[in-house]
Amino acid sequence: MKYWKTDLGFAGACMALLCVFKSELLYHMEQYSLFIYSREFFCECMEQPGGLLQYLGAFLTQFCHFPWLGAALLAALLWLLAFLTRKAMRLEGTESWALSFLPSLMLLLFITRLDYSVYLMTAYGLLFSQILGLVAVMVMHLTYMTWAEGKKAGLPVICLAPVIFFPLIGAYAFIAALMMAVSSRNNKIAGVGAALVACAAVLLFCSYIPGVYERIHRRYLLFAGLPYLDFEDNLVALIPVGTALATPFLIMFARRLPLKPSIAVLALVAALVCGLTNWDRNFKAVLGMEKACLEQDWERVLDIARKSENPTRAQVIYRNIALYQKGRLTEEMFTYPDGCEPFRTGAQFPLSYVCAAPALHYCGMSLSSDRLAMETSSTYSKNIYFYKYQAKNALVRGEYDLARKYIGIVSQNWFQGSWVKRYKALADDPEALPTDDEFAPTLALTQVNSDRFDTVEPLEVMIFRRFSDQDYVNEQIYEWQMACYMMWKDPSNVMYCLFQRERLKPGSHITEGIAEAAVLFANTSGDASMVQQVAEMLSGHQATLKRFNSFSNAMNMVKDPAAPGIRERFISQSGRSYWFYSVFNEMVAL
Amino acid sequence: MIAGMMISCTGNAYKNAERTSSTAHIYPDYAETVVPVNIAPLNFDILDSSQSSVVEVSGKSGKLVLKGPRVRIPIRKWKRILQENAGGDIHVKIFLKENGKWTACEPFTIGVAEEEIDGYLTYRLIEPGYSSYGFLTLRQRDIRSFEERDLYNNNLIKGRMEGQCINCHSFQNYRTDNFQFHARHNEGGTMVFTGKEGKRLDFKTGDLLSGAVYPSWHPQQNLIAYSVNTTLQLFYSHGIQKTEVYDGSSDLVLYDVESNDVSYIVHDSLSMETFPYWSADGKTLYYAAAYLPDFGADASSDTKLMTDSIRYNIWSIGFDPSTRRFGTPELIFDAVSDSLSAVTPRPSPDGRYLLSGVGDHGSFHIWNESSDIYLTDLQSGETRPLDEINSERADSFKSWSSNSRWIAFTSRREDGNYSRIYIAYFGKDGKAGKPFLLPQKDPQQNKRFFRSYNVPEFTVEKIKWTPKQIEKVVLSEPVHTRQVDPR
Repeated sequence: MKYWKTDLGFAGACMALLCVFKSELLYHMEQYSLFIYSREFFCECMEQPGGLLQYLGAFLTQFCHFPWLGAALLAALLWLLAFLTRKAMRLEGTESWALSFLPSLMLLLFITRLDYSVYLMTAYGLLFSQILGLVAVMVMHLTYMTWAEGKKAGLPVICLAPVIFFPLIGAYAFIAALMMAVSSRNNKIAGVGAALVACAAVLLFCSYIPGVYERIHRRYLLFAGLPYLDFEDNLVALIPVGTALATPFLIMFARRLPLKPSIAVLALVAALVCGLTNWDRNFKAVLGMEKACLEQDWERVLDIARKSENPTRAQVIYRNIALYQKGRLTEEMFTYPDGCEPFRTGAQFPLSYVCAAPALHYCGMSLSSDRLAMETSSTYSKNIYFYKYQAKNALVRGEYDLARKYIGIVSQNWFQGSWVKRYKALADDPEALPTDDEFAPTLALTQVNSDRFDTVEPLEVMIFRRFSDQDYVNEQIYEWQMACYMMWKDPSNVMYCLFQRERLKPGSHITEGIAEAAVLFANTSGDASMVQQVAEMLSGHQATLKRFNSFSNAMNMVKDPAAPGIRERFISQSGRSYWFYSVFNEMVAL
Repeated sequence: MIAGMMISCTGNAYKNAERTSSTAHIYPDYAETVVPVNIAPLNFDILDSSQSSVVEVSGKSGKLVLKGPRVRIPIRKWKRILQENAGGDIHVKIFLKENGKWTACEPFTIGVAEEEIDGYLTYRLIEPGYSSYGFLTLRQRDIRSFEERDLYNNNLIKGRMEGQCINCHSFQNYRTDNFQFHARHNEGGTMVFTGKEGKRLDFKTGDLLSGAVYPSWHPQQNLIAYSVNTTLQLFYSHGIQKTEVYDGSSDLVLYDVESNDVSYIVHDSLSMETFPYWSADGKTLYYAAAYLPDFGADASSDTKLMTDSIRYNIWSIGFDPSTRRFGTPELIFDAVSDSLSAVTPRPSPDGRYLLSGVGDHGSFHIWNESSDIYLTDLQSGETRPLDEINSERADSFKSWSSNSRWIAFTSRREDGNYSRIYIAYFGKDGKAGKPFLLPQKDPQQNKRFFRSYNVPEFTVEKIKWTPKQIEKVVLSEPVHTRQVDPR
């Protein structure tokens, strides 16, 4: 209890950092995880060495449903690791006690540095499994130092550690054996040699003996239990984990470090954690929008969208869906900044991995959403998030048995009660679906030609092309049709759809965005009667017509819209409008 | 003798239960099915809510009493009951206790056929994700117990992102000495195993359309009939029909396992031939064939029209095993005349019947909601939908047991998405019994397992190869085939 103030401060700081800045990440990790209380799930985890870490990690990840609770658990485990390090490495009472926090800080950095790679996780429980792995190492080391070090049993213990614990904690068993060997006072060389031979024997046995670990490629065996597979193309993300594993060995040699230098090292590492944490606001925004979409909190999606000056394509897609849900798609989609900001990550993956499932679901493309959810989850890992969208897709298609199956699997996870209750009720009473606030707008969009095939193209194009039929079906589809043609700057189809709807539903409300597009395209068509017709249709949009005159005059003064400063001048004078989009924006931005 | 073995904690109060006419709801539904004498225990769950429940399973002699809604039957006792009642029925009584009062539900029977079922089923497990192969497995299940083991999986050789598509396993005459499967993409090829030898084939040779696709190993000779196909896939964005898999062209070829020679069986530019399957005597090859419609200008503009218009008939062609010469094709089932499409012919080993998969169009019926199994009597030439086993959902791949008395087939009837294996008795009178779901140790596995069972194939023995042994074959240098003229 000598260090309780430092311990408390450390745990508090960890929790604050995770809670305040990484709550969206924690929630995402919980949604992209799965825990099923069944023998099959346990066996599936244990099919790979280190499966126990994955299993326990998946169990604990459930608590991240409430990010503060997940943060508290992580902070507690990080503290436990520091405490055990202090005990196992015999740092208590020495001037170098501050070094005991280094492994924990490195693992904290690993979590806070996570980026879009979290969409490509293959293992469950990543947040917790690495901490649990090092905790296990420290427990094994402490046990060894207490009971076996310097005794006859020392060498057998070192040899047996990888054999017994490799199936449970994977490569962490090798770390533990090596630590025991290195910290031996007697026969250090023999100990290290024995540990290396034991580790190699375990690896060879698991690699080549029939019937042993036949569901894992042998190149992953050495890294079993470590998140190697998850970051195969983004190995930089693993540097903190690697450093955390190396730290105990470094501490062994720095045990006599005086107080001030050891505190300086601690401060330096803490500063590194702050400096190297992933502060990407777009990443945070994408995760926030993802959560808000899942909860159908469309105002929250738009709130986040408003704060993003240079959004990614994922943010633009989420924003457009939220605008559609609020009935403001053509009204406002061009008033936001467009986005083609790249994902800041070392991993390579398409946009569809980030947001295809929700985007396609809310656009009524339930099979496309299902397909991409299944393909992503079969390549990486199955998770609550995809099952939720697959359940909703099944409800949209009227496949209630299938929906119940997905809901059933979600219900196995803790804290999903209210979600399960709501969607199970809908599966049991499908007649409520057409009038349900969430499903009504989605079902309306399914009335577009249902035989349509998907094409291999960017996600946004896939969505907009779906609504590129000119025929009027209903108001919801009309909204996407107009958004599509306006985005493509397609005057003839915008005007066709506008007039067709006016003929079928005379006097219907025309949104500001459509009014702007109509007046622009009518005036640039050179067709006086069309200008006259549009002017009549837009009799309720006198302010828009006036603004168009000023815009038109201003544009006439500009020789080259691409000249420096012109874009900014138009923004400051008349804000964002469809006219601004049509003149200054490349279509690729949407 | 068995009676009371499991009853010690239950008491006998249920014996005074009031009889009701209502039937208990159980999952899976095994009521009034006919099962083989050597099948694994038909574990089931009682879905009706109750304070407690008791199940009595009884036969000619002895009774098995089990308590609780999760009915898990001990395998040895189950085997004994089946043996004692072979050729007869076993009776299942379910007692439910609600509000302190016991009621006896309407009992049901399970017929026990004397004819055994082949001990092993080999199938592929696949996430229905269409084009990703995160974890594809060929697995063999001992259906007399719950033992299941991997034949091969695509995580063993490569990393997850470099996975292979494993498919189309085929055995020679229900034995496992000679078998084959394909692994596509990384280290891909056709893996052919003969006894203790295995080789990886690079099949594409000469002017063949593709590598080997749908296989059938000749029952006596080391010959494999394959189709070669240019397969295309389309995905619907909405609706019930999920995907459309179709061929742009296809032919049939014969592969000689010993010489690695490949020759055409049927090669017609105006038609597509696929899904070859040998008769048990090895003297007839059944297959599906469709004429390529002339779409004219519509071909490129309306894919749906194109895919919907392709329909297959079932044909056969004679084969002389001594000369290895093929005869003239003969129409067996004219499905196209009824605007249907018949594929995947499977003649029964006794040579009397033929099963085919029939849908409203196309060749790849696993996602076609209209897909049903049809039965052709090869003596009378009559064909009928095998309604005893068909469902509203896609019923597709099927396999005869070696004694022609059992049919295993895949169906999406559970939920429309994840196919499961069903088994049905097939009587000498040409009628099938009510199909039952492949028994699992925990029936809820069917609800929790999010992969589809694909291509169930019976064998009478266990596969001797292990995944790590097969791995060596997959990683070996490929053997190239050689195209030769047909005899």
